[in-house]
Amino acid sequence: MALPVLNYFIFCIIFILLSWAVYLPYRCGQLYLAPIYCMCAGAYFGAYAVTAWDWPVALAILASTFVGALFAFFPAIGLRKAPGFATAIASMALIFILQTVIMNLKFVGGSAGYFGIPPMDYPLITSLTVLVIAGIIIYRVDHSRLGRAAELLFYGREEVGCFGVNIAWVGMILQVLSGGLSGAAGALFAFTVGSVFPAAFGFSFLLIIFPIVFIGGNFTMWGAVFFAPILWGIPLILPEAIAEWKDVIFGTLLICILIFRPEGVVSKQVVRSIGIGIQLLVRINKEH
Amino acid sequence: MAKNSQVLLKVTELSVSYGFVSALRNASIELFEGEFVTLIGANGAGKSTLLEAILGVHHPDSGRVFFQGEDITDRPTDRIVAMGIALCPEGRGILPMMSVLENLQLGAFHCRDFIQEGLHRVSELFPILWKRKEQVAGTLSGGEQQMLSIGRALMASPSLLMLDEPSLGLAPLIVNEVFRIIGGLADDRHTILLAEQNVKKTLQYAERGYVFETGKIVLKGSARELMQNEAVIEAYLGGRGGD
Amino acid sequence: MEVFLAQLINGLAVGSMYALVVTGFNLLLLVSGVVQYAYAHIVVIGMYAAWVVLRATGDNLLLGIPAAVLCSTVMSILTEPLFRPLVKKRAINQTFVMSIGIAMILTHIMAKHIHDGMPVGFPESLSDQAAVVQFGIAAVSKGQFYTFFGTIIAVCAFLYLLYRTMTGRAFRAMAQSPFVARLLGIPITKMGLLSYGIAGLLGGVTAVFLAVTMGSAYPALGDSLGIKVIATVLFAGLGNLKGGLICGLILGIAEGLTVGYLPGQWSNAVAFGMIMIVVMVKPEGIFGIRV
Repeated sequence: MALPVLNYFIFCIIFILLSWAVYLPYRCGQLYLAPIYCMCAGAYFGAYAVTAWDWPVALAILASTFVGALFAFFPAIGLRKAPGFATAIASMALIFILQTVIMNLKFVGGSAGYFGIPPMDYPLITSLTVLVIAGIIIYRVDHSRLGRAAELLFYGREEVGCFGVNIAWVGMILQVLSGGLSGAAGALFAFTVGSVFPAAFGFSFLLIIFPIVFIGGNFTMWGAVFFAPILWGIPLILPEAIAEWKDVIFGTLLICILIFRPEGVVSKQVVRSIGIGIQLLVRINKEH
Repeated sequence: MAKNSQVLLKVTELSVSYGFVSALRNASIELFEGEFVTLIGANGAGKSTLLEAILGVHHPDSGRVFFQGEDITDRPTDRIVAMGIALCPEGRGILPMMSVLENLQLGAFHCRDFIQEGLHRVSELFPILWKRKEQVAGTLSGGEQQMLSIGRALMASPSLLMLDEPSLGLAPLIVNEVFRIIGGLADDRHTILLAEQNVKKTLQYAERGYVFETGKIVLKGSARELMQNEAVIEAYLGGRGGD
Repeated sequence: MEVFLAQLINGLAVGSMYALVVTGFNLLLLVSGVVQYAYAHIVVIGMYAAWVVLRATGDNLLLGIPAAVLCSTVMSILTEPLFRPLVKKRAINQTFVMSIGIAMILTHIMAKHIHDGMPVGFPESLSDQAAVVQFGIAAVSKGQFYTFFGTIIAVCAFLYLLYRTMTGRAFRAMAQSPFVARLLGIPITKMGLLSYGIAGLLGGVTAVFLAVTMGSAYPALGDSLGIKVIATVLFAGLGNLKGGLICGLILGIAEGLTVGYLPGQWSNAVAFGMIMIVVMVKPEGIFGIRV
């Protein structure tokens, strides 16, 4: 497979993972921006593990997942119960703190970055495996008691205690899961790009993730799956003159979606309808 | 009340629903100038919804509201308030982090030229409240907050004063005091529309009443008629052999 | 000692501007429940507007300064209809996301369509580096002087509006209870628009002083300033006006001092570290949330 196309797919996978990482805490009403911070941690750890400690790539990716989860765990102690918007700012702070810390760490290259990260042996299969495993976990979470508890939290943070929902628990689990996803995404990023530097894991990353999550669909995991390839891919194939306006187009789309269809394009109704449609098709085929 | 008074407020077949839940169905009431009319019924029976709909807070599914002969059904709330309707909402509706004085001043939002007169009137009507005019409203007692709510509504010299459950959460002694004041306002020829669960108290002061049940008006009549009505006695006044 | 004084003075000038920006931001947050991340971008676009007019009129300050104020005011008012559907639902998170969308568009305009994205410089007459007072080698320039006292006047005027006028009372009523404000007959939409206008006005004033103090503007300044505003507001407590003022000043002074004393890029980390601790220990901010 041609390299640019391969990279496109892997980046789609990375964006899907990160979008899921934002999606999970948003289910319980928290706008959580730490995925970038966890991704940074995962990326650097994976890179360092493979280059300095000679770990096999697969192990490094697995470890990065745990590193991401760990990096999410500590702030989550304070953030899991934070009201929706405070989480956003606090997690944003995490991004900058980590960026600054790394810029001053010489052994991972400081501001200049860390180079020479070897690529994966089977990039597409590895990434797809990560994606599928992550997808299954999220699907199970969404349809579990945790998912329903999160949904209750989304609609009424104060009232929910009387339903026996443990706000702290829900917040913690979602944030840690989010961290794990981001850590994995970070490792994939490192092995695909071949180098990592602090500036890459900054606030501007959100400018891609937010459109995917909010235009794609923030009440279901499938929104990211469809819109990451679309929003990432279309600017790549458009002529330069139009692609230049990418930020304006994304910004406008984001604004319009929030005004006219805040649940995103792929809403729960859409997923349900498609699901029913697929069942019908399968049944029709069986009867032939 | 003299029958040749003007009709101040006329509500015809008003229906309001919140999403799929019907809160008010085909409610029709009429209010003459200077009258004291009460809406009685249990919690959630539709009284608050009617008062808020009159003020334009809810967009009705059907029906119309006429005030001083004009159709105000679809007017925005701020225009309706400017026309002279004031509401003391359920729970007092005072602004807890502002002072008593500031709450009162806000009552005159639509008639700033007459603020001083309004404040003077309030200071006479509620001297104890006036003494605390610099106090933060959230620290007032329930009764004082109710006085503040009424005082604030009076700041705009409203043609129609509406009150929603003024006795809610207040001790009986304070309730007496509150009703005494409202009765005094009625004597002063204010037009009053009062929604209450405390049926016994309000029927002592009101002239006419409408009984609400699950969003519909099921009974209407003069206060005396209602007090002697068997169904009303049974449901709201403690039954036969009660007080 | 003189270095310290120089840093402190610089910090005060910068801090007073942060205080002003945070105040405008808090106004929008309080009255409409809108987190306007792009408020900083509106300020910076005001700076660009001044630059465009100054260039076109040969550095005419009498035209350039009002241009900044007008531009920011108008831009702020233009964003009101965008936020209105979200304000109705009281969806704070979504207003933040929307403001990011707006910020993306504004940054793009500055980066691609004005001066090819290169920094724009303001004339000497504006920044007026002439010294007013001297402390040995440290000096307070006219520009810093104007900035500090100008922002104080702006803040005082704003506080007067908020606490001594009916309009201000109405704003505070809307902040405390939108329902009660409505019952009092306060025209919510009109007042909302007015609050956007006043916030824009404050932003325009900030733009002028920023131009004076910094002497130049660049497209990334929007994001840089926006993040600082959000961080300050979190630290002080969302919507807390007094807290925001104080913390804005503190941030400016802290920046001024750490730049001089701490090596490398640690000043940013220090600022954000403080914020993190506050969030973990007291998520409502040091002075408490007022929304």
